[in-house]
Amino acid sequence: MATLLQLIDALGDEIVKLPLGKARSQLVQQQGKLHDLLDELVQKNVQIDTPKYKAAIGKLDGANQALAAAHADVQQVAATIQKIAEVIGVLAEIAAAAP
Amino acid sequence: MMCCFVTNDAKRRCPHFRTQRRAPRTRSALRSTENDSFTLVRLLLYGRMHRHLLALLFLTVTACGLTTTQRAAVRNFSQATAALGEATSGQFVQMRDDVIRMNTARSELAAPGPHEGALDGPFAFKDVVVRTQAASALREYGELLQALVDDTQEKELQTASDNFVASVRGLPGTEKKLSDNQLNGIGQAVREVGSLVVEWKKKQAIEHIVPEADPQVAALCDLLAADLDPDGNRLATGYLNAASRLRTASDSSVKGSSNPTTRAAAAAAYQFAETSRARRDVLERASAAATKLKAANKALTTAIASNEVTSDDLKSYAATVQSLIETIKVLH
Repeated sequence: MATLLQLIDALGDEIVKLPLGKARSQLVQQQGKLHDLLDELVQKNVQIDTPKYKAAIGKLDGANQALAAAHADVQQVAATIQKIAEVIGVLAEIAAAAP
Repeated sequence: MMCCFVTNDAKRRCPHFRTQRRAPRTRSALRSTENDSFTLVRLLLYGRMHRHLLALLFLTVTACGLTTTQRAAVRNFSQATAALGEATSGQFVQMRDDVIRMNTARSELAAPGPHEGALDGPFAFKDVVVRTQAASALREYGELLQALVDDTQEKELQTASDNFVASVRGLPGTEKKLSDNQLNGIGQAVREVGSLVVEWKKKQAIEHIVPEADPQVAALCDLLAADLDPDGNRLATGYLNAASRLRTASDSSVKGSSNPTTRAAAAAAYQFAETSRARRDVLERASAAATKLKAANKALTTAIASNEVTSDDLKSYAATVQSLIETIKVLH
């Protein structure tokens, strides 16, 4: 089944073939009404969807923060080894100083 | 730290661990028994522990990190998601700009009188911003996923391992007991342990985050797919509706105007209307890519959970996005 936009487009295809005149004016007028109806429907749907977008974005942002935290956690591994190396260095100094 | 690689039961069965328990203690080693870090070093120093440890670590690497297939699945998904997020975000902004241009052109061609409706039509700034944010969030999700999988910490682990070996070398008596080869072996073991921890952490994170994000990714995909569908009665429909309006209005002006300037403006507007109508193909592809992203995300979740081979959904999705990007490049 054709959608409203497809009907409007099909009507437009016929209109542009016609010369200026009464028949064309009537079709243009009908097409204008369909344009308005479709715009109204689109506006309504877009406004209904916006809060749904906001809710999903908020939750996906949470996942993104978790991914960023996981990345930072992975980066801590080398830093931890580095700290162990420092501890060993200190132990070496203590051992060397021991009687 | 080692508990994730070797179970206690495995330790009991493993002759290397038994040998290690029987290793003789020296005076300096006994002095350090209270210090965990020193004990770890001692374990590495005596016998040929580090060689066995290395072999064991290589054997357990696949159990601790993502498999090659899983990594490929994540990389494939995340690259395509990042590309789709960027392309989609650009589409919304361009559609809004085009609609303002089309409605302005139609207003200029119309008979004198008030222009009904906003020039941006259904593309109100606040609504477009939210959709752009959605596309950005998806792109960021893909990029972060990719960064996490690709980050091997190779360079950082090498530096940390070198410092570790340098510290061990500084321990009293080390130079008499360990050759350079043995010290290098310890360094390699430290690096391998670090790599395994990195891989294990990455797997843990991805196994937790990807399924958690699945419903949000799915919801955004549904919304984006509907918005980009020319017949979805949402933004793409509004865009093509504006183009259709302009085509009719500009065609009437071209046919009815005797003024060359007006006719030229009407002809340019007609051309722009037709160019905009030709974007239907791009919008259809973008909508299809968003729909396939939903399926691909589900497939990725399954692959992460079950170690299955990358599904056809992921491959199909990547191909669709590639096709979309190429189409957009041609149109720009």
